[in-house]
Amino acid sequence: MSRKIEITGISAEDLVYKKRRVKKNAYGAFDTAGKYMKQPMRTSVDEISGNYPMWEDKLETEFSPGKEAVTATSVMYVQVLCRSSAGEDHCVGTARVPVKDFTGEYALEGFLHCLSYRLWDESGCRNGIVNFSVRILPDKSHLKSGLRLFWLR
Amino acid sequence: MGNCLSGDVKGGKQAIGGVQQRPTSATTAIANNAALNDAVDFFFRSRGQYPLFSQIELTLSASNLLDCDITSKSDPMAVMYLRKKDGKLEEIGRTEVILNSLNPSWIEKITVSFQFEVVQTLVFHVYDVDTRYHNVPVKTLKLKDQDFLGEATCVLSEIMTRPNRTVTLSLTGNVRAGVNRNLGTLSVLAEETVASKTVAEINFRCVNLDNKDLFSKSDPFLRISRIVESTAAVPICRTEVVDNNLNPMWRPVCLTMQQFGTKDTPLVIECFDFNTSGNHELIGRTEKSVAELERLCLQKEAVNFVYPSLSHGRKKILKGQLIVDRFVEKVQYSFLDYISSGFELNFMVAVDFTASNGDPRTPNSLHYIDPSGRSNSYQQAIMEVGEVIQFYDSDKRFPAWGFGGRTSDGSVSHAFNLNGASYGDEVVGVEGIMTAYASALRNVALAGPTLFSHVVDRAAHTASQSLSQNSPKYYVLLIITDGVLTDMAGTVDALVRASDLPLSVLIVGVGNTDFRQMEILDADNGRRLESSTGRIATRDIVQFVPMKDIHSGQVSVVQALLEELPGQFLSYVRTRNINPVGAPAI
Repeated sequence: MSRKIEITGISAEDLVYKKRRVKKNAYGAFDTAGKYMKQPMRTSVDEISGNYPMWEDKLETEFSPGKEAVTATSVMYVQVLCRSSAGEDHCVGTARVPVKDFTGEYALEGFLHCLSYRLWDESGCRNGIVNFSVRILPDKSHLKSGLRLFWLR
Repeated sequence: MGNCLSGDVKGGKQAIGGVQQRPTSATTAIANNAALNDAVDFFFRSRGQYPLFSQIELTLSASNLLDCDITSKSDPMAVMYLRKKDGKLEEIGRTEVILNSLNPSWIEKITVSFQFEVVQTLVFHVYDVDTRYHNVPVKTLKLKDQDFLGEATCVLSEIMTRPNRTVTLSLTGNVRAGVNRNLGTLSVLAEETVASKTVAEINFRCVNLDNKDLFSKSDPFLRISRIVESTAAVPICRTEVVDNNLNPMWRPVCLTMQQFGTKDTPLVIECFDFNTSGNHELIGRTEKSVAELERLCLQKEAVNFVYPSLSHGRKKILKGQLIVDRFVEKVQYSFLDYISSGFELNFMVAVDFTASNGDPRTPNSLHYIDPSGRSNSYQQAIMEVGEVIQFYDSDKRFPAWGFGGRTSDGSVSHAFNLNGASYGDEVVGVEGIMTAYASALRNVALAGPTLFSHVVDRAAHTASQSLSQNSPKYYVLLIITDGVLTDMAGTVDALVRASDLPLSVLIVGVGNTDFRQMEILDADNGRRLESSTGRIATRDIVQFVPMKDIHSGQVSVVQALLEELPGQFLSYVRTRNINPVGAPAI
């Protein structure tokens, strides 16, 4: 039962790394605990805007919502990392997104969820916000008539 | 009293305030528009703030008018009024006189400003103009000297919600001593006069700016102004401030065509260093039109800033450069475009039934229903908001809830149906809400505590259910409360969960409590709401206003709440790139 899921990393705000504002080269990574997604997905690196990177990258992958009790607690991790000039990637902050926030508890499949989460750094302090949007693409078999339901764009 | 011009209708039109030349009709249009005050408008424009209301042009036509003249037909003219709160009529404009016709289609349009937050009642009077006045400018005609042909009334938002933006009204009135005759009909067509809906989104960046601060680097921001009358510059836009950076990059700037005029109008772009004293220092300036900015972006060129040097009168060319990273031209639809294409606003009410309101039977209770007919604060708020929004809802069925009250089964509920029914929470019309409210006051005992999370969840549930239907609806929840929230965290959680849905929450505070918590929920200071799970509100869906004194002045406090609604609706549809129904995708 695997579905296509489309994640668009939009932007992040107020990123601080080692007490200084992040200057450049920040990118986002989306991953789940467990094997729900085929591979961790990354946005492109934003080289210019410092602590307010904007990506607007659409990432598609397969997603199997999994079985039994795991669904209740399954979580997606959104990380914002920055690449230093030496080429190393430092994790600036991580957000923990419960999967049920976008799997249709509040709205239907196909609805574009625009979500924002607080990023937490390694020492557990608040470190900015990450904005992204998620949509579970509806199964082709569900689209009977060509009528696209209005708000589901 | 024969009309010798009866065969020459075109000549007649030209002779009598008919089709005006373009400049004259422009001046009549401004004079026709009573809601727009020139001085106030200029005050705001000079500060770069443009009015958010749209100008609407009304075209009138009538059919089957009463024939008043003996040997020929009537010479009708229509006059339009706005009915004010005190019932008085204020004239907005007049059409021209059309000779000899019982089915006139007037050419002269009447302009009125569309204001979302008030109910604009338009009253039309049709007159037959006597031959004596046929060569006189229309504005100077004394209406009491003319023959009255009929009257019609409608509300402006009613016209705007129709798909073809036309409404046909029957003319009524006491014409010819009380005989009720068929006076004919009047058709009104409304069109929004927006020059163009094009919007340019530009990403600016600078390199090598001069350092104006002593111990750190400059904090630059850009200010874009439009040159008016070859000398004065009117600011139209400002970017945010980037701290401590000589190579700043700003967030994209959106300029509407209303702001920049045409693509070739010269704009002045100035770069300032932000100082907390307010005295911002100029780093440099440059003059470019929108078309030139587009060219800079395409050809990936940069333009150097100049600094006007006082000594020689010559300008000093700086090393600092302005770069346009991205230039996108888009079409932005207006609120009225969405409404007339079929979008609906659905109204929902939640009333506070906590004990802090006071026993409803005592006169100083906030829930006291005055037998003399004076509305209490709750009724006032429901009427003012409901009256405006009801026109945007096609079936006029509104869910109404109460919270904090003890219902007939003995338990305290935080989202009970105001109509007392166990099956459905809807009432019909604003009168339905009032009746349900009055009956709930008799059947429900006031209890507590004050919790919004249940009603917000109900509203969010209703909004999310509507997503599966094919008609686009936007929900507006009005919460009227008198007190301090007990469970701030739970309310914030519910609001954050609902922030991604097509829903706006308007909170009206009645009574004299300290409403500081509500201002946190309103988030106007920029701090987005954060839930206990770490999720942050996608957008600011809450607007709060305290209703302190009902009797002060014409402009009600609740109107300030409603003014924000078109903006919230537009931010929802624009972020998701949703266009009006049937409109071409951009």
